[in-house]
Amino acid sequence: MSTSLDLTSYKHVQQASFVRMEVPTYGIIRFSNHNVPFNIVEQDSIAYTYLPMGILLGISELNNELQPSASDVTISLSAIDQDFVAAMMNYALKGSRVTIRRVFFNSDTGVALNISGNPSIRFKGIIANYSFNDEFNQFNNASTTTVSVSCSSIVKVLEQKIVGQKTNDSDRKYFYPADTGFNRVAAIVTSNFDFGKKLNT
Amino acid sequence: MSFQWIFDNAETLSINKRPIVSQTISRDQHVRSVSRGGAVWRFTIKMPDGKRWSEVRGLIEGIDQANLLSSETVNLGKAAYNYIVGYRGAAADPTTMTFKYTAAQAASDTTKFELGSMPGSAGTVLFRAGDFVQPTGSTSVYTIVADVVKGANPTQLVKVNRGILSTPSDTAVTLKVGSAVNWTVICTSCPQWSLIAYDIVGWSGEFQFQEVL
Repeated sequence: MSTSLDLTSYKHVQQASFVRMEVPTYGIIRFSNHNVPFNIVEQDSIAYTYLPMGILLGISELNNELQPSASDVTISLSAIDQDFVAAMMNYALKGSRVTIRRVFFNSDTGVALNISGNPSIRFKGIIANYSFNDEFNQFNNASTTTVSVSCSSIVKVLEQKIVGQKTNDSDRKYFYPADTGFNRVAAIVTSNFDFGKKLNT
Repeated sequence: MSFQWIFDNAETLSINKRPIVSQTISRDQHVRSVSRGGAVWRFTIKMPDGKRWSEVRGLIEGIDQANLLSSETVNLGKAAYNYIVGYRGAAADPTTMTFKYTAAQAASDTTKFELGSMPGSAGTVLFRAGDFVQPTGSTSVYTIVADVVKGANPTQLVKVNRGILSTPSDTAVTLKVGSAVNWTVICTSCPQWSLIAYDIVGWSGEFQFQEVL
């Protein structure tokens, strides 16, 4: 997904990850693990600010392949801020679009490198699942609370896409709201038919 | 203020303000490094065993209350610590100098601020490398990375140890310098105290404090 990025002339750089989540019924959340707010020009040519909220703990390993790959990525978020956790619980996160960008900075000046492909998109996908992990070790009084957001790449989503229509009433009504032809599918799907048997009267 | 008591009575003090760096070394011994940020102040302090419980139990109560949960403001302003953080420049009153971090500066170099109201004549050493500075009204402390000698211009850029965290502004503020700086820290590792002899307190390990951003 990334455009060409040539870092061969740099012996040391600084990098940070920037996550954009498009949560239905809530809005777009932009956050990063950079130390200060940073603006990124997105596809609509408008610069948006990614805030260093301190909630982004980590992003799992990303697979870079020549061919489009159906890899998953897990984003670990801090579950300490209860307002944030409540927001995660209250909105339909599953299915939210996620874009992860990486920006390289000059480690001497802290300014983003002005080179082609920077910032670069590292991952595009949707949230397939999320979990809240609250671990407590009573022997050393250590406790960790994290939110793990599992994201499937667009390639995987397309692989699982259902082409056509399922033979049930809800799917039928989605495409043809006035059609009642599938109304009794649910009732007859578990019925046994003895073909050839005389009808009981 | 129990954290301050720990800082004031440290047996050993370690300060780590380095950023997190990933590094790879290839088979042909080429080294590549990438900084992942995280240049925050981390203090590791060992408290001496042997304090009298009857004298310090109130302070230990404060530590137990703050535990890993509360943040407190601390400094290294104790006179005996002057050799650690004391101002080493030649300005008679370094607090008159001002700090300005503009949006233009943030776009060109986030590790430099504009130093103004510089006292003395050209050639005066205003800061030595390693001097501590803190903009008034900010919780962030920085260190000067190279000697700053006053030039002919009314202002000059000064490089510090990390990216400046203040919001860019055209307004200049005064500087806190040397032992006047203070950190807002939270304890990330709090050793257990125990009574190792009659009225004598011992500690199970080292305290670790980290700057709250």
